[in-house]
Amino acid sequence: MSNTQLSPIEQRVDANQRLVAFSAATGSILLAIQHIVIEAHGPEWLSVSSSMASAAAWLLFLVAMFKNQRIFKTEDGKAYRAQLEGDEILQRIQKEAFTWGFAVMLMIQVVMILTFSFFDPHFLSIPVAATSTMAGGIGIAVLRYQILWSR
Amino acid sequence: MSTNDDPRLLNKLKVRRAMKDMTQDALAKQIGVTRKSVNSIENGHFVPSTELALKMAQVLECTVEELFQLPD
Repeated sequence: MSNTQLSPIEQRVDANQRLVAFSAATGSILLAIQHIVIEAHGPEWLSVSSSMASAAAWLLFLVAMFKNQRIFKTEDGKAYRAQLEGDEILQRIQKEAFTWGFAVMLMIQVVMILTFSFFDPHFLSIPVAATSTMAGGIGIAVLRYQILWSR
Repeated sequence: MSTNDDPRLLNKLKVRRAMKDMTQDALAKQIGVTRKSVNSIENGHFVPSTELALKMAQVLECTVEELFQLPD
């Protein structure tokens, strides 16, 4: 293995981590789309297909989480987990990703309240607001984490 | 903000590591972080904490000043 090449355990954990992150982001974004389509009285096929795609993404998320547990139960996995737990850079990245996600959630809330309460208050239902906020927050947090961790 | 793309701190980590014939992974294991973190510090993306800088210096048998310098 060369100096900067990823070790097999790093590759496995990274690949699975990407799957966990992007399936959660995709699942929440599709869930938000589903509720927006329903609230906007959009075509039924679109709400059904986004709902099914969201469910598939969340299923993939569960599978990836289960796979994560299995990876960290191996000897290499346990050693790598110990390294990850003591890694201050990773902790900084997690904090920053969380901060970005939280800031975006707050921004979405403000934008939604200002925009929809002015133009169309009926559109601002709890399912739309909650899922959109969640999708934005998770999406940005995941994206920020991946950008920082893959540098 | 903790991240650092334009180096506030220059480092000679790569040179010092090469002098000790040590891989990023070996250094990472000795200081208790991941290889990726060593790589990101080496490339100037992150500035390590004082504790981590001291650990690096200890493992690479040099002073912190020999490892990290402020840009001119």
